[in-house]
Amino acid sequence: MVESKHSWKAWIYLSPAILLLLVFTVWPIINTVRMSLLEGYSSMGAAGGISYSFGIGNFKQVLEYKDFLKCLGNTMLLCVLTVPISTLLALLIAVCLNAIKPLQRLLQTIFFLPYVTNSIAIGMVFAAMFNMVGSAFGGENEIIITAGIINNVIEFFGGTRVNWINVGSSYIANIVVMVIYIVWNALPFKILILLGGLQSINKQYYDAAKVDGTRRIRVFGRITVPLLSPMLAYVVITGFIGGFKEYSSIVGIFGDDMGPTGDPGRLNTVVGFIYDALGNHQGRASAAALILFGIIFVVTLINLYVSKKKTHY
Amino acid sequence: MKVVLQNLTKIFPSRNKKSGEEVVAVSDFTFTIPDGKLIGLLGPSGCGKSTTLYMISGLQKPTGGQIFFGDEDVTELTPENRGVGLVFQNYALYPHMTVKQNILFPLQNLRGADRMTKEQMLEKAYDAAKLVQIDELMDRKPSELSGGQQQRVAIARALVKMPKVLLLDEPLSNLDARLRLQTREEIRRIQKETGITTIFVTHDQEEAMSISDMIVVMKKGVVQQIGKPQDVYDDPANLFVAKFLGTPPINVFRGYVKDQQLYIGGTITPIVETEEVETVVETENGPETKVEVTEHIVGYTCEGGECVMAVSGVADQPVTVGVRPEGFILSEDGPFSCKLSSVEVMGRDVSVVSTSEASLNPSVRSIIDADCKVSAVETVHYTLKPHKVFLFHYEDESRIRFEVK
Repeated sequence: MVESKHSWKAWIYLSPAILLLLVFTVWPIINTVRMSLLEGYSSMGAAGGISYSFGIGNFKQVLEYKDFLKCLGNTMLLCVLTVPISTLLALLIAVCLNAIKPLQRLLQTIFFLPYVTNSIAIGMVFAAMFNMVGSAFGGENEIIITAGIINNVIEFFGGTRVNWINVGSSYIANIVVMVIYIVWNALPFKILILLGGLQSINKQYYDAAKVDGTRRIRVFGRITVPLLSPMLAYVVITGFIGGFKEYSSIVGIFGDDMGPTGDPGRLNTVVGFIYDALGNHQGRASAAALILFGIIFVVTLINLYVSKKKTHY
Repeated sequence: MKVVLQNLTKIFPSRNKKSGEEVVAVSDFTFTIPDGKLIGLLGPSGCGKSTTLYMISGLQKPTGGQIFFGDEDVTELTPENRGVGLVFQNYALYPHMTVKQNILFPLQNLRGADRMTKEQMLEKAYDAAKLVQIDELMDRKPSELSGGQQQRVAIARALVKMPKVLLLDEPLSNLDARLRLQTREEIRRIQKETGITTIFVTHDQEEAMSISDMIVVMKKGVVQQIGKPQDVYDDPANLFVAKFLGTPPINVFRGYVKDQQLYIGGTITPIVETEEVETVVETENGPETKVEVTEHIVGYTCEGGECVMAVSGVADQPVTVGVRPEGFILSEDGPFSCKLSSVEVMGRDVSVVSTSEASLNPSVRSIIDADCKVSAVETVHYTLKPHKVFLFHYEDESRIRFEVK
């Protein structure tokens, strides 16, 4: 217990952190709630002296907005696809990495590289890989200059090229590109966490399993995965949270149109919706942000509930 | 199943690549473990006893030598094909499985003809659990068990497949003193009931002596002595074995033998002979003669000390004398005297702590019947029981035998 005559010192030591938290975390949260509850709030209007009445109109408006539901659908679809795929892939890679001795460090570094690379930059590279460049794209007599590296590979193996992200591309093709990109981007962090978890598992469990003549697949299923389950739960929960906030990856590939040329907004997400509304409809943006918070909160609760039953600590 | 170890050797490559020094963990271990016996591998930490155990289990490959189970050469076999049960030092129970699942696990791994039905597996698991008396705890998780119970689960898991050989790595080291006593009797009982050849590793000599049919004393990878516990205690092969067995430990003194009489204490002076060797070395200034002086110890002059007993058949030489604590008899005109420092009463007997200049240990500890009263004297006098006195070579510490009359 700090004696009261010294407590002012403690407050002084804490003040820089408290000040920063108040200004950049606490106040924005409070302000978001305030703005979301003022009917049709706009900061320009507020600066112009208009006063807004309290109400839940913003929330209603957001939920009735077709665009918002589309954004929510896109976000959920990407989440549901990318989190399981990236977790399983990361688990596989981590187990393989853990099993090999030579070059482990080097490979670990290589797998970690995407994590330290700017996601917009990666997105542009991915876009280039999937991009078709031609004359009068989408026209009848177009001449394709390059179909992108991915299509080259597909054609090399005898497939037909796919219009991934350009004018006239299908929604499914767009989603496939997004899933590949997001999974690739999400892997390094997950691999890092899972590899750390694997390396902390006591080797004696594997020795014991060896003496008992356990097959590899059973060792994996009955020993490795259960003992790794806390890490897996962590990776899945943070994966969902990150997935619901997907935005920059779509900007990276499709630009801030959030969709292929000719169909802007097709791949817009909830965070994208918030950004769009932020310009002039802060009330609506705040309401959408709180709705997103609510969704993430519920999903995380479900995650925790499930993992509590399935994980072993 | 008898287990034969033939010239078993394990060399670990050096971690430090520059020095390239290899570590010889086990060196040329040859021993036949008779069927159905309980064998204790005993030695200080780092003596290669656990490595030996892991080589028998198949988890580690020997660098040289062979291992036979019965007449079958198992040296190249993987652990699961050897039919061994292994209990790890910290049990290695799968923490996410219940006791029942842990015990069932080895059975569920069986394939082909060995595969059992679920009912058979359960029956076997319950049999094993009953044997170690944990059948009440089958639905608990390992974290909900005490150390002793975890140990039993680990033994049950190792036994459930009815292994040919049961291996225990430091089975009692994680238990408290009371439980240790109980568990070691338990291990003895289980081993007797199942009749499975059992090898266990320990650094605790008391533990090894109390339950083993035979003990193997190891030091730095080399087997020092193999035998029945009492035989090894009564007839140690060298000073290391003599020091390692017994609580309180053996008392060690400087001494010498002269005219078939053993003297404790006194002064031992080496007789040094110098030898001059002339060598001609070519230098820039022409050939030069260099003289190198080497010293050899050719003998010892020994004098003084107390003549404590006759040792017939031993040549005159300096010796290291080991006397077991129970080898002292208090007697006023005894030939061996020590300065008394304290008397510890332990009920059944009395432990007399004294000091002697000749002692290589800080104190001399003797155990005397509680009936003998040690009065407040400055010096205690002892006669020695000849069969509790061991002589060892001064230099290589090997045993010198003498006739006990």
